[in-house]
Amino acid sequence: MKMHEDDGKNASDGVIRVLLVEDDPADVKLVQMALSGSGHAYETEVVGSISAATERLHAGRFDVVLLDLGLPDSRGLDTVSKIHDGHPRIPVAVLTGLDDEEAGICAMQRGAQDYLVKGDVTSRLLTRSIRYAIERKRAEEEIMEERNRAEFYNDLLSHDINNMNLVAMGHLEMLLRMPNFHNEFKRHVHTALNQVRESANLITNVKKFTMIKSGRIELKTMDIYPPLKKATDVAEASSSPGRVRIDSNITEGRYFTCGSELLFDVFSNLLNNSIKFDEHETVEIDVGISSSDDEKYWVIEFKDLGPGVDDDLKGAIFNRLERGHASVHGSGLGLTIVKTIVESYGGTVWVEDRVAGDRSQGSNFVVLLPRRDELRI
Amino acid sequence: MYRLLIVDDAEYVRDMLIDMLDPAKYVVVGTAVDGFDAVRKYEELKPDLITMDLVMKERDGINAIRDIRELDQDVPILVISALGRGELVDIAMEAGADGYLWKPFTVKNLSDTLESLLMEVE
Repeated sequence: MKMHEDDGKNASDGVIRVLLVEDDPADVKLVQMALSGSGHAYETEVVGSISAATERLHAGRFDVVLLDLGLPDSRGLDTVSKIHDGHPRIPVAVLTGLDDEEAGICAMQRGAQDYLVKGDVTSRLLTRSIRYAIERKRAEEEIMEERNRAEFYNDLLSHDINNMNLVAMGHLEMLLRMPNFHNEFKRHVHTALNQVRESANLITNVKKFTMIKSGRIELKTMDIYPPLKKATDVAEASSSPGRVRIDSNITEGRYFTCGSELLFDVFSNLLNNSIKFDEHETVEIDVGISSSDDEKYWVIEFKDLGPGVDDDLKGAIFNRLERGHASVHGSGLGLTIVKTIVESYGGTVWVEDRVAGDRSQGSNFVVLLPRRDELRI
Repeated sequence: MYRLLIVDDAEYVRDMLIDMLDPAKYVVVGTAVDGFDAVRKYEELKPDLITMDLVMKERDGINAIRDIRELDQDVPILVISALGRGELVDIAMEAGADGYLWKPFTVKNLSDTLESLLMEVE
């Protein structure tokens, strides 16, 4: 049977199969002596060029490559790339010349797992380097697998489940539009529809979060008013008529920041959060803007009359995705998105009691956005 | 009455779109499950308007738009795509789509988008 490096890692007999890629006989000898003196079982094969190394990696199974950077058919860091591109799963430890640690570090950026300065090759260091390269490669592969899995879930959410939500929403909406649909049932349909909408929002937020984190959002100087107006209109229209009242002193053409279209999501999520937790018959939110003392930021405050936020949770509600905070239930991802977006603009966000020291009087969500001069065209 | 072709790989999305459309204005003359099917149905049915999903297994919506544009420069094509696929929608618009609608959408979103699309092309 033809064996391949990808078939698996260390052989079950404990022997580590090393492909030594080195054209200098003296260095070959040095490495072989170090290997044989280590007390570990190594099976070493030596080749003197990249082309021979590639051929052997195709044909046989190896656990690790020890790679010299100065070969007759390849010199420098390209040597690492050539092995890595052709055989991305094989661990590589690079042998660099005397005092050339820089090359070793660069080699690791190109896909090598470790480097060893030739002058320092001892049995102990070489063994450690080989073991480390194999272990590190294994860890890298695990991370890669995790990343693929996360992308798969992301796809599943944004495509399949999004479609299912769309269909559920569509049919519930059509049910509500039926002229002869019994009023008594409408309450249940509304509840179901709201829940599916929440689910769809959650997916949208996950998607946006991924977009921000991957740096795919471009920032520009923009007026704060239009996204706030839109968010206010949507929030008021999403509740029963007259239930939500949002007052604001923000006007058009006066307040500029450096942001993106996601500023709407900041305002929308903050307003929705206040509305969601406020159990009063009518919800009142006051939105105010002022300049920070140093004039570097706009301070935008969202004051509500809701149940307030526990001191213990004041930080955690913005950090749902951080380790240890995943169990802050009920808040969805909305405030985490707010924080992620605002910070990507160079701003900050926090929550305090509307009336200091008295949580029951409601919350004040404070957003600091970098101040920009009026748009110059 | 506008004659529509609906392209989407999910049956439940196709069915829902059919239900959502105002029967006084639109009649769905056919549905397609992927890009190849879309081009075939387009040739066979010559619809007045096409709704196009982008991510489909056999042949995707972007290629279908390109194929249809080779046959017909004018038929309005509305892309219906999952949010967060902005880069795909940009490519689809360059390929010749006339408008787009993010999923999930409401009955009103759909009818407003179709109406403004038809107004633009007329």
